[in-house]
Amino acid sequence: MIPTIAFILLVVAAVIQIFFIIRKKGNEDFVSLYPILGAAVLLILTIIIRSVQIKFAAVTNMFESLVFFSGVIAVVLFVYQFQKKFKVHQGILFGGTVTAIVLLAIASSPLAPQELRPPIPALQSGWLVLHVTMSFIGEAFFVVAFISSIAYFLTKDEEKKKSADRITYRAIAIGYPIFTAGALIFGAIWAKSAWGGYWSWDPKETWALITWLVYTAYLHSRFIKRMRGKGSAILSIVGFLFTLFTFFGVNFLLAGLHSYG
Amino acid sequence: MNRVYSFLKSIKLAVVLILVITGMSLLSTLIPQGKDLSFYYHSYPPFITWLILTTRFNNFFRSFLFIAPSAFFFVNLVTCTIDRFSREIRKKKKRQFGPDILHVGLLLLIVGGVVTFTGRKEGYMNLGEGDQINLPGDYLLTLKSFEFITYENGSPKDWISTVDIEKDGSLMVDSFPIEVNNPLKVGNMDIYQNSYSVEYSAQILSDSGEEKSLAVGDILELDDSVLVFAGNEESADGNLIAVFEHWQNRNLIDVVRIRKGGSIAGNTLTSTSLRSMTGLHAVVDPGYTPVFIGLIFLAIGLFLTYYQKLGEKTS
Repeated sequence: MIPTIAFILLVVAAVIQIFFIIRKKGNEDFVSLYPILGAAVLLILTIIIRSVQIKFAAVTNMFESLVFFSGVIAVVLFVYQFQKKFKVHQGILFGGTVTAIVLLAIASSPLAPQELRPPIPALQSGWLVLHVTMSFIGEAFFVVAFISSIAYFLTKDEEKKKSADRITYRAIAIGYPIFTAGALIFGAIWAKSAWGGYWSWDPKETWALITWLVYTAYLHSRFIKRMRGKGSAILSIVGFLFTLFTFFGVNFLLAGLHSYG
Repeated sequence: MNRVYSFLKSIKLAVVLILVITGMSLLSTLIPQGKDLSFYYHSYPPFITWLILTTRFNNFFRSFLFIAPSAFFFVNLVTCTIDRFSREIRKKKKRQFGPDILHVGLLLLIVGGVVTFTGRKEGYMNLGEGDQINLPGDYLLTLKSFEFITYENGSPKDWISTVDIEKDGSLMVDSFPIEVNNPLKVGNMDIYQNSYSVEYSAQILSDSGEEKSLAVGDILELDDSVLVFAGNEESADGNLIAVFEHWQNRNLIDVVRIRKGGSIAGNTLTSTSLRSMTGLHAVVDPGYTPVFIGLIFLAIGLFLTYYQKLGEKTS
């Protein structure tokens, strides 16, 4: 029920954002941040309630992961909209909101059973909680980078292209260290503590590494003049598509240690 | 010489190598790894199978295709790190060592990976309560107790193997509860909770008065067929029944269930029993220490890089 209200709030926010986009009042939207904040609070509340019920941080199955991911995206969008220093274009906020809506729609589908399940022994670790939560926080910034990279290709205005490029870079520069800490550092420590090996070339691990390598290539491409702009934007888009494949594709198409979430 | 150095430290080379490793790793996840050769012959056309097996793409992360670009990337990263570090150290102010620390962390990760690849040793053991096993380093492990705890819905909550470790007759570790995510460290070895199983047995008495204990898979021979002990089943009245498979000419012709006191192939079943067995996994991985230090360097490097960038923007 609570995620449904959050879903409705996000849809309301998206409608408000469309209104401001059509009215070409991109930077004057002071309304949609409130339903976004409401959705963020409700989604995080859902995780807290489930955590109390299973007596462990509820980020151990696909439904919970999707709700948490959507909640973090909503928090990130709210922060982007709330502060004044690094304002982003309304279209980017709209894209981020739609991404959160799509993720919540998948969470409500049969692909993600909502049944409350206490964690199996391998998942009962503080390292796992850090691994999952920080990976998703980093990926929430990759959502912003992904949308702004698409915006880069949609606009013909050179100034707007530069602005989209800057937003992409800032979002990845923030998301990358958080994602590295979550996916690689805490993931390796947890794997060592649970299975005795910090790396096993499990498909999910390999895809997380592939994603990390693409964003690493992105950050280094900034030093290569010819790759700035278009080349970097392509890497950012590919990086986020790989992020999605790491989450969904590996779970449904490739078997491995991470098949539970 | 300068041209070689410039090439090796080049950031363009780094990006190309990163993308090559990325692309190859991606392909490797589309081809199942480490399967029997017959799997590839049955799953792919002859040419593709030949290509997979010749390039060892079926074991990609141990193949030349992965190791060669990774080794090249290692050289590139070493050169780049030395070059960047020597430039930073010459600066009078605004030195930024974050990326250098990060790169050293990555180098340590690669070194640790190689050490693990070449020096990791591991072994598995199945033990019941009271069982003992000798471990490398003259350690003696005794399983004092084993608990399998479930949630109300029956799913596993915890496996706890409580063990003692002795060395040269003196107790080194007293009643340590090994659990998933709570391994025991003994010397340079870590012991993990790995699995759980049940060991069935049946005790029989032959007509000639000989007692024998059967484990799963043990055979009783008949004239032209065999009976294979397959385990025990709980009957409706709560007793354990011994189950035998009757095989003739490699065909399963019957499944025979015998109660205590029943007769089977000239033997009398005197008792049945089951034991909960814990599966422990012992690992010696000399690569983890450099990897762990590498992870710490990586974290510090990332933090410093970000912090210094933020400082730049603010100033």
